Amino acid sequence: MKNEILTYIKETILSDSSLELTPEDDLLNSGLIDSIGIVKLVAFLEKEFNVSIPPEEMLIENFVDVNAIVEFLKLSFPA
Amino acid sequence: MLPISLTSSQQLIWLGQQLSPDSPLYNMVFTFKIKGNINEDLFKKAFQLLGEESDALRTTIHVEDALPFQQIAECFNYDLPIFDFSKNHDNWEEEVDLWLNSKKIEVFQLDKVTFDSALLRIPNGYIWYFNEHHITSDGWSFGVLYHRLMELYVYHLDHDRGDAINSLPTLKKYLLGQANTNDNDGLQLNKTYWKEKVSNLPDPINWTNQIVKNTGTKAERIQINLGLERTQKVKELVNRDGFRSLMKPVTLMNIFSTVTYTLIHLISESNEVALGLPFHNRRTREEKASAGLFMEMFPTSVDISPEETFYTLFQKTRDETFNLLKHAQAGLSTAEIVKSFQVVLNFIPVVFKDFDQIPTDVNWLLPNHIDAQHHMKIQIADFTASENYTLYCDFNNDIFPDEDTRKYIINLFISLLDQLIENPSLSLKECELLDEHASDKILKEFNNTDKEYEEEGTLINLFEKQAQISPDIPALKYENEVISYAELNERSNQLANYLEYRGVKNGDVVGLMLNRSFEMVIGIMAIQKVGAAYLPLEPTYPENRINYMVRHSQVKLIVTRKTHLSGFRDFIEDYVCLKDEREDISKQKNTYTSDTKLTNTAYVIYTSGSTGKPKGVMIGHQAIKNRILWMQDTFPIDKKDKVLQKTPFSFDVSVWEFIWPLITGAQLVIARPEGHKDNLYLQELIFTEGITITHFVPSMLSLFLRHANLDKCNSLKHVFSSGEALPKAMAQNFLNHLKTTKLHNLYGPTEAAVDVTHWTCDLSDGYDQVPIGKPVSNTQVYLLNKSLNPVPLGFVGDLYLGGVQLAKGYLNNEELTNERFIKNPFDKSGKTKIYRTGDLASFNKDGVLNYHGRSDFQVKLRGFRIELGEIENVLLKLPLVLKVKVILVENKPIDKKLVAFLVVAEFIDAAEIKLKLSKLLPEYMIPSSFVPVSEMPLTPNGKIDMKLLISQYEDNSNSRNEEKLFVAPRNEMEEFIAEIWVDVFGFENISVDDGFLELGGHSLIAIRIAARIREQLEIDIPINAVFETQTISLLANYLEVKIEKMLLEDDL
Repeated sequence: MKNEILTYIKETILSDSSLELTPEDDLLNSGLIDSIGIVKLVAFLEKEFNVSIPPEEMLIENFVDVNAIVEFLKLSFPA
Repeated sequence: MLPISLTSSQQLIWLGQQLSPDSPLYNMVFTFKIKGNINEDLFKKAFQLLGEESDALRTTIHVEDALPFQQIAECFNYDLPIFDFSKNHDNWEEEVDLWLNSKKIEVFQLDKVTFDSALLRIPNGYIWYFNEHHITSDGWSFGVLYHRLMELYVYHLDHDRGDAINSLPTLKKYLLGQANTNDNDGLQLNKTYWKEKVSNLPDPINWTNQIVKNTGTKAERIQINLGLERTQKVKELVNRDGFRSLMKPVTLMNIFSTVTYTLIHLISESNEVALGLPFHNRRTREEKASAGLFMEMFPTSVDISPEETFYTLFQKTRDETFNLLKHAQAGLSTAEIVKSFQVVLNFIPVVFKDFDQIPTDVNWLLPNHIDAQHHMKIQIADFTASENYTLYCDFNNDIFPDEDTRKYIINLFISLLDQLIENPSLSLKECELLDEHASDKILKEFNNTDKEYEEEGTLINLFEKQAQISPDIPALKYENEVISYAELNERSNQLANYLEYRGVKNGDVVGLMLNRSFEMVIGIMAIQKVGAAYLPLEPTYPENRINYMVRHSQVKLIVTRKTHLSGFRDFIEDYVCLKDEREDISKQKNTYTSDTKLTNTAYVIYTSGSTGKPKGVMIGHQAIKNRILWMQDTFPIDKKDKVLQKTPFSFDVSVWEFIWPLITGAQLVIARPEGHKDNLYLQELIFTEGITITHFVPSMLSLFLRHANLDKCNSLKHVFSSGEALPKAMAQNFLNHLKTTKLHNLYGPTEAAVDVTHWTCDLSDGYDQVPIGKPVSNTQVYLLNKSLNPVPLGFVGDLYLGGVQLAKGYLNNEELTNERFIKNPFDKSGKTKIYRTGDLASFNKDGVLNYHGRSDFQVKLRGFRIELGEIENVLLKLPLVLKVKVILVENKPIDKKLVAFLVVAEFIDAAEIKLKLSKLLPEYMIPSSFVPVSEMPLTPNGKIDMKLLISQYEDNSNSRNEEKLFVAPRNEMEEFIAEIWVDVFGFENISVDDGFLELGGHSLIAIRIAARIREQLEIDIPINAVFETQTISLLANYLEVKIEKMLLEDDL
């Protein structure tokens, strides 16, 4: 899950597959991903993991890094 | 140099510029005031290096075959000029402002350069002026260029700091990528989303209800700081649960959107609200580091429910912004999308750091123009990260011509923001359009008309008193006959006694059917003395109308002459024939003690509304007394004055003509029957009698001014005008000719004792139209919206009246009375009423009222408020047009169109009328069909039968639709244009009647057509001409007229 998300962020959102990105890297405060990127990412997560993320769940603590995203998905949508 | 196509957003800017070629609307002008010393040479060098790096600064725009493209020059050579303003310590700021104000409005020649810049020396610092055309820049781009310039400057100042290596990325990749946008599924999906979105957006916003014709690009900016405290509070809200989200700027944007939605909703009273938002459209890191135009605009919209609170609206807003981010895609914003909304909101998160750590102020200047299609642009930024947001609000001048209106809107915006911060769960219904101060001003200050009159009793008592004071002076004059006050009173007393003898009682209605004469005045006085109400019945009225009034009012009897009775005898049961019964009347006592109370009805006048049967308005003695005493108080007259009685007594203006002079000792001079239509007679009468006071309906005044020898009429002191709108030009003409006469414009419906507002015309008052002025004493005027809330200053509202002059209601028609006379929402006691006039008006800041026509003659088409009468007036001015009726024909709610029915002297081509109208009226006011009729069909009571007209039209158009014919070019010019159209549209068989828009025409096609015409005929035509003429045949006509004109000019 982590790797899929990391790859998507690098290749599709940032168009830079050579980028070094770890699950701990701050995605939001660093300005790495902006609003357009977030919307893309949400669409990707919804499609890839077959979940639906309402706007009120789109909070900093759930999306701050890839670890947080994975945690959020597991908690909100237990398999 | 490689030609590169414009991106779609560049095309939009280019088109906008083509439509307003002389407007600097796309100049983005920033100044950076660096408050300290810098190295001028290094600054210039840094700017040179910046231009070498930035493709945007080396871009120019060219046109070939009417198609635009851009080129990026290899080299950059710009010697940044330096201007010295530092010598003048006292008013360097003024000089700099002057310089900037002239610079910011210079129109770029895009094929030469797309930016302008200079460094200004000022005392203790510099101003860097940087102005770029929007076609190569956006807000973000300015941030990129500023910071890169600073890096380059710092690096060359001190190689340990700054950065010379990380050059700006090239734009070419983006520009070329945009030109061949990859066609994938997502793109189609998003295209469909925007297409649907646009088709579901509400009609254009009607802000002040004023009729706006064409909007230009002129604009005014109001710039205001929100303040540290308010900024702090907004930022706190962003972190609050329920509001906070991933991205602070997005949340901020959503808060400001919520406020803007609320503002539009409250003002327009519309529950569907649209708002345009910019989408920065920089996806990759490379794009984020690039200077150039990336930004595109897309609409968002919300439906506001009756229970909406700020918070629930915020949630809707958040979802809409999310939708925008999801579907916005580079290259998708089109001209249709950008013009689908009228308000733009832009939260600009760009911050400009201090220049090389020297304190730097940033200012963004408006080039006094914005896109014509947007009414208002609200922009919020904190360019220097001072924790104090600045609101830059740009208003289209044609939509918001009034500075007070603009200020009002800004204040409302801030007040709504405060209310949202204070209490997010506040219901929008609780939001006030006006603050207490403004509402006090409109409701109380403007209506502060309280006045107590000392005179006791009714007007009849006042007349009797006057008859005692001056028994022997003439009261009435008719031709060569005169009767005195005493005689008038005595004869009225005799008739009053006789009426009583004939059974008339206090509270009855008594008909009066007479021509203008002494008897008419005696009758009016006598009936009122008995405490009955007089009902004027014009002997010339058609039988069925008299019949209706007599039966409906249940008159006790009718005072008349035998000669008038023929034809009416069938239904007039009881009457007094003044001549036949003269002896009986003169036997009566010549004294009479009137028991009439102020609560009695004085007269009943039947008016015909725009719909339905005539209705009898009952005016009480208290009401008419107030009206007459106000007049005497405001324009005092005495026994030296002579008042002309010429208004038919079925028109309520006659009431003041009759009564006013007779309570003051002045003389009433009675014009002969039908004499009010004869200007030479009237002029003669005014001159020979030395009339001092008279009344004219504007259309009669116009004839009088044209035909009379006005020098002879200098006895006139006051002329009162009412009954129709008084045109400014007529008032000017009047005052220019009758220098010692005052002209007064009065306004009032029959339902409120003759007149309720007044204005004394003045050539130097500076108003565009003659106002209807201010309310008379003890009278209130309310301008309300649909929810009965007062509209703000300068806004047009439905005119409601309150106060003592209101009618008692409609005789024998309680239902209609309750409908038009409603409970006064501003009177806490709940006892008083207000009357809905059906007229539209606005207040200016001094409380002066302007008239805006009848609300029922106005229709709404595609969001535009249209007055049908205005179209009719223009049509009537065309040669050969005799009669006109314009109707909004509505097949289905969505399929509305204007149809003009015309009676013409000889055949006129509809296309020709359209062409002529296109020079006189905005496009949306031009009827889509012109239907010739031999005569206007009339309803039984003499009005044009609109239903019949519409049914004729529908029959006609149904049969026509089936066989829409192809019309081939009929002359050389049409052939020439048809050829161009076939070329640019790319298909054959275009009929010369086919509409440009229906064929799928848009701005770009219009530009290409205009360009082809320019090339081949060497005639410059505005692009708008293609839109306005719409068809090949009209465009051909337009060109022929133009060529003819040019030939004529050449001959001269």
